[in-house]
Amino acid sequence: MKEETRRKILSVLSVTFALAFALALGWGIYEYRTLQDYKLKTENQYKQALNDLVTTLNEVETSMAKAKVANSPAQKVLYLSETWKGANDAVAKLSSLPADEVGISYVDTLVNQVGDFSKTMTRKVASVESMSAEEQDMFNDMHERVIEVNRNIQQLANQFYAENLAWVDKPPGILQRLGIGRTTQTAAQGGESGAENQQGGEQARQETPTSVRGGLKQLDASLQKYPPFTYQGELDKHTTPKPLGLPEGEINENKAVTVAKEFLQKLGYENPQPQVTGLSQQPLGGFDLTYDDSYLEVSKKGGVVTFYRDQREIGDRKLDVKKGIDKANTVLNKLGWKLAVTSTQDFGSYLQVEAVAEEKGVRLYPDKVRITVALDNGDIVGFDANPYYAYHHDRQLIPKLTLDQAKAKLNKDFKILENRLAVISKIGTEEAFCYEFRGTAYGEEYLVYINALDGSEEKISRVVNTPSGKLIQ
Amino acid sequence: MQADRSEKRLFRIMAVSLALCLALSAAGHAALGDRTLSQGSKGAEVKDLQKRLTQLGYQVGKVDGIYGKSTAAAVTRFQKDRGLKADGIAGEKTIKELIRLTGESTTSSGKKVGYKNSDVQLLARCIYSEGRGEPYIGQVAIGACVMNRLKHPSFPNTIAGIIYQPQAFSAVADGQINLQPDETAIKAAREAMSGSDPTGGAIYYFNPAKTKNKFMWSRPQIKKIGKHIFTR
Repeated sequence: MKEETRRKILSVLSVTFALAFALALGWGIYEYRTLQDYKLKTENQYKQALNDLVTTLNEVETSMAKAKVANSPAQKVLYLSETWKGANDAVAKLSSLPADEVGISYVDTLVNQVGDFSKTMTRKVASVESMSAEEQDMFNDMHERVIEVNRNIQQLANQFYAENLAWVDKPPGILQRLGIGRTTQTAAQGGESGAENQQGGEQARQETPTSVRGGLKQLDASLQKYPPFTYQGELDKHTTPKPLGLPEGEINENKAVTVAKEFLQKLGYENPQPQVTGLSQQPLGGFDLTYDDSYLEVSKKGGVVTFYRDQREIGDRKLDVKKGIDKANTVLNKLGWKLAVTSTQDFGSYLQVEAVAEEKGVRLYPDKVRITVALDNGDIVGFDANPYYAYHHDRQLIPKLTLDQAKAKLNKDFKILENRLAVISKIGTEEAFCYEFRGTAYGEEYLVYINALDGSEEKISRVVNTPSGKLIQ
Repeated sequence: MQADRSEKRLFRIMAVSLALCLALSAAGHAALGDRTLSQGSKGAEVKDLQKRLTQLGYQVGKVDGIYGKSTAAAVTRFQKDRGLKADGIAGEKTIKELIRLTGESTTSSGKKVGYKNSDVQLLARCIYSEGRGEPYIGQVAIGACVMNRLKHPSFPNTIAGIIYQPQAFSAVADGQINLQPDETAIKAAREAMSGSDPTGGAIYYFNPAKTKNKFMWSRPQIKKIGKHIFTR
């Protein structure tokens, strides 16, 4: 009896185990196949990106060569715009290739700069029909560098297929770390900055890459040796290294507290006690202060509040848009600003108001201040004067064209609703002094800007009605 | 004659049943806004409500036509954001506002031209997954970094290109990017997209307590907000 039960248990157990094993095996094979499937799909996407990159970059290089020699504006514009479009595509492909770490890519930078510059030149050649000698030199210089990048990337792609290169370098394994295995030196391990990188680049140049990303890094290192383009100002537009509108003089921490305190009092805070909680290294800042839920930035140069935000939760809405704008105007006056409200966006619990400076009836769009009004009690919960202090300066505002001359430049189907003089910002710190025409054509609303000095059509904006207000595209 | 009569009868039966069908389907498909919806409500209107909430970035989980806890939570978030009474009940005011905001943009002559806010949601998810728990201003700052990269020559030229660039954001690599953003992150995304930049032109940020990355530490630092150091 006992023997029998034991045998029974054993057989049941073994069958169970066999079944479990078979199930696990099946599950394992299924998972493995799924994984292989996904791997293949991503691999295919990466390969497409690499091949597209090679194709587009080659097209960019060819268009540049043609744009260089083209003499008629029509051909020059054609090849410049092909360069611009191709460069944009190439950047998108470049940034979708696998990477093992973050860093600044000089390949991306060069291709983006080529794109931006070609765009600017497309416009220029289309309006004044030629590039200056300096711009031509710059373009030729860019072409030289693109040739190098193009050749390297083609080589890399060939190597990728011929030698079955990995996408990224694997980190050194345990054996290699112990100094037993073979080590592979890549540009990445040479460090990313300064002298270290130069050395890394030198080393990398002599070695063949072990991965696609490694190859791109070697290319980065070799590009880094070129001097930067003198055109930097217009090519990099994400900061304003030299703000134009900050008052003179420098302030210390105590003064920053006083400035913040006065500002908060004018907004309606009772006896605020702001404290300096941080320092910042940026031309429009200096001192970060906090008080309750509020955050302020006071500039070291000039001692003005450039940024303020009350982070409190906003309660139920009690005010409409008009009352919100009134509140914004009242507080702006109290703070000593004389601005014209140009646009509002209704976000429900709060209202965002943009206001710009005016000078003799000319709207100065670059000199902008952004105010956020809480619609529960009408308090100002946000204030951003960074654009104003970055761009405000004395300008020569004497139009050479009369209003009628400017009107004659407009599309004949364009019906004018409103017009005024305005300064608009272009790339970087460049500006244009224009006649602004608000009007309609083909059932759409537009803002058309005609340069008040040379009569060129400077900019066109489309106005769209979104649920939260007018959007200028 | 006989055939004609039976034909007429058949026609009458068809007409009556068609009318009945129409009436029934109309009753079954009551439009959103006909009645107040709250936890426990079911039906096509609830599904419509859920779709619209999701469209604006207030995710409800599964769009299943059942007004459950997560739908009520999404309604509350929407109400808070829009300055409405935050009770989680979709009454007349809430639904009206929801319908208005989910409408398409139009030209001056009223022609529909699509939605214009798709990138806000992606940016909000990026901000939420990277910076939830940070002060509001720190969340705007993360969004501002993305916006600064858009203008910087070393980075891709679209918001999606920047966020999904391999190794650019750890939250993308580990899938947190798919978490549902809260109303603070959505607000911060909108503020960053409208041009607000508390960082003064930063393109990177890192948590000094968690990062040993040499490259990150080598960048010129601008300032610290919350737990993050923002750099050029």
